[in-house]
Amino acid sequence: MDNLFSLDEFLQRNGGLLDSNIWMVLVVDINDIELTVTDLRDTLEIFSECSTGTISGESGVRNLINQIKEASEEYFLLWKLDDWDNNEWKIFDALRSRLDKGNKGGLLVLSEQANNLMIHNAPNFVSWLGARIYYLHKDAEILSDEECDRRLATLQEWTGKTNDDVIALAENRQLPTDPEYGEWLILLNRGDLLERQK
Amino acid sequence: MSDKNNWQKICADVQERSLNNTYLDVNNATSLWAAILKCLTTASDEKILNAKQDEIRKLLKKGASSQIGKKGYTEIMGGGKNFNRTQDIPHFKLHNGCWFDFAITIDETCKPAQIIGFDFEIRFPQKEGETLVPFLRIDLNLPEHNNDERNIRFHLHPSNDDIMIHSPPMSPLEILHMFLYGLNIRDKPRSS
Amino acid sequence: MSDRLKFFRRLMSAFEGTSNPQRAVERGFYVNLPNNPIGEITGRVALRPSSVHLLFGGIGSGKTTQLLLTQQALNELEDIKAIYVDVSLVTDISDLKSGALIAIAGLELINILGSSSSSDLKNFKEIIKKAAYGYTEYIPIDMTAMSWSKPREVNYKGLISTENRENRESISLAFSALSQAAISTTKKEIIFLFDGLDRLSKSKTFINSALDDVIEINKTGVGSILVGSIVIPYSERAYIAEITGYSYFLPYLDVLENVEAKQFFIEIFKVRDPENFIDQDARELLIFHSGGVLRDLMSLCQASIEEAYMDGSELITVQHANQAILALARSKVIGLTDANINTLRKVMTEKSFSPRTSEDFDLLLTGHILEYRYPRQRFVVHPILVPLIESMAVSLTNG
Repeated sequence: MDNLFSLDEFLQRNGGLLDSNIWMVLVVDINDIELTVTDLRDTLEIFSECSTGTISGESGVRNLINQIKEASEEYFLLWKLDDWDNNEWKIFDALRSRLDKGNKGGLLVLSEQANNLMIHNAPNFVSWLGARIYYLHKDAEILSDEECDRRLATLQEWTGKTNDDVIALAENRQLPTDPEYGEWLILLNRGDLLERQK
Repeated sequence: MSDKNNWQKICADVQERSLNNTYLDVNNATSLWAAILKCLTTASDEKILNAKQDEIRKLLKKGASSQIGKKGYTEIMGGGKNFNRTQDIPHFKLHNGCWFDFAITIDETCKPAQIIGFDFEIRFPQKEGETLVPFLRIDLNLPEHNNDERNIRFHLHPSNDDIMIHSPPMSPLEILHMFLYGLNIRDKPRSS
Repeated sequence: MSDRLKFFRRLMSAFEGTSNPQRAVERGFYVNLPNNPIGEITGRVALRPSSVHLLFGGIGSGKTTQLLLTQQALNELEDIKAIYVDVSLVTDISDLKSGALIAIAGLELINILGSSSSSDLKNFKEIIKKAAYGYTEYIPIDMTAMSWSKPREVNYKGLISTENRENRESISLAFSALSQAAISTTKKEIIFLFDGLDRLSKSKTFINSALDDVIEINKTGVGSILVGSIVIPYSERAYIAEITGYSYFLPYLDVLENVEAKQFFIEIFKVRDPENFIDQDARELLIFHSGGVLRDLMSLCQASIEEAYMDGSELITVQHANQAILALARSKVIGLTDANINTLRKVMTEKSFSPRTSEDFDLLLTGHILEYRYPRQRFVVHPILVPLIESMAVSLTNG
């Protein structure tokens, strides 16, 4: 898929470059929207160094525009626009001047379907976006299986222990305290065993 | 009381002061990961870190728990696992010739989330004829139920895997900043 | 923040093309648009202030900038007061009602008159305000009814909010009185510049609400300049031809056939990037692929700057420009139907286009098909799309 970016690349590209009324769209699988918005709330401000407000579109476009008007933050994360119909997007397009508060613009997190509706019904806003319609490559910043196996192999070689050995030690509350063992359990998806060491 | 017991007590006090004054609370693993990403990206922009933006993304990874989607324990890894200190394992390079990697374990079952273990190691450029790689390594061991045996949970290794001394009270982000900005490598060694 | 990031942020903001052209003008970024209508409009208004002018143009063609500059030029004339209003900021234009523009213009007149005290004027001001903002009326209940109750409260919404209950005639009368008073107070002829109406998605609304209101305003001796979408001259050709007024069309710039247009774009780079961080070859590429659409040139420049930043580069080169071009092309292609692709292919091969269907108008509106007027009228598929459409055509024939 084109214009496809992982979260880290998205942050590097856009987090720091906002200095004017720049708007962009991040297209996300509808099942991942909530998690993505949570991740963005945790990370955007760190990069942009400006206050970010999360605005929901679930009560319709006029309500959303109002929320933006009342908000004191500089940058906006808009979401829950996936139930909007053609008309809501047309209204959004008509009222787009109200999005410009002389600050730093914002980001829409949309499903593919909502993105298509936006493109068909909000051509003025879409022209503002320019090339900034990004597709999220989810979880690319998470260790791949191959990388994971490589790390586990190194740990096994260094300690002379197997994965089962380490699990058994953890189960019996005999896990050595070197930080590598914490990593080891997590790589095996057995972070729960760290609870037992408490 | 023998002086050895005295030292045990001193250790315990120093560890307690150190750990109490180190920022180990974080919002969550994702926030810490983003803060580290930003730190590395800025260092790359400033030409302190050799890695370009895409190389940073290849080296900095999150692990495991977050894949399940529920809050548990998460690992943040910067560079590959490198016990033998060889340059063929992926790592971060600095323009001054140093190179480093790190790993951090975060407990997200509590609020705020807690950093419960980490290891940060930086290696210095080897001098002519030197066979061993000089390094500085800071470890925070995992917490232990029987009260941090030998009271040296938070320690540093000064270029020696066997010698451990108390670590300064620095959080992972602070240690990262130190690696990037705090170690001045001279071109010529100081004359003795 | 690193110095490098600060530098790229500054460069990025120099190529902002999104919203407030006022800011661009203030920063000294404005370059005179070739074949712009400012001179013509100003000349006509100077001769006959109470005239109606319609400015049509595509998205990102520079309509708002031209309108603001026209306002400036008009206000330099001794006896003209030009008032600019972005209607979308004042009212919900997706639901524009007949009479709304009269109410909006009326409020501006009230501002001009300030607190002048003629009691006749006070009444007229009230009528306009009620029409604009709505009001609450208390209707007394019949006291002989079984249970005594409070007067019934009835809320009338205004035109600036939504529905209108006011008597259209009395609003017009009020407006007329206020405009006469404003003209004699300021000793200037008044002309309104209404922006934002190009976003009206139904051309009928433009005709029935906005244009009708403006004609009504005109009867009281007040002039108007109205912005409309590129589709209106085609879809409402007959109606537009009938009204007494002037039409202007702001086309996209034909950088291939119009030397002035090419020069204009070169100047834009000179003012926004005087130190040549975007190199010459990259500029050529970006100008060509913008299709002569100002907004697209801005988008391409920003995307190139972004690529150069991510690449660790200190300059913006052809490599970055190419990445930006690909990114913008991909964004523009999203949502195109097979029918759209066929139409675009047809325009590419036949080198002509006669917009008739609503699908045709949509392609014009969204800037997938561009209309040039100087040196000659011609229609082209946006150059940034051409390679992608060609490759799609090949894959369609290959099955």
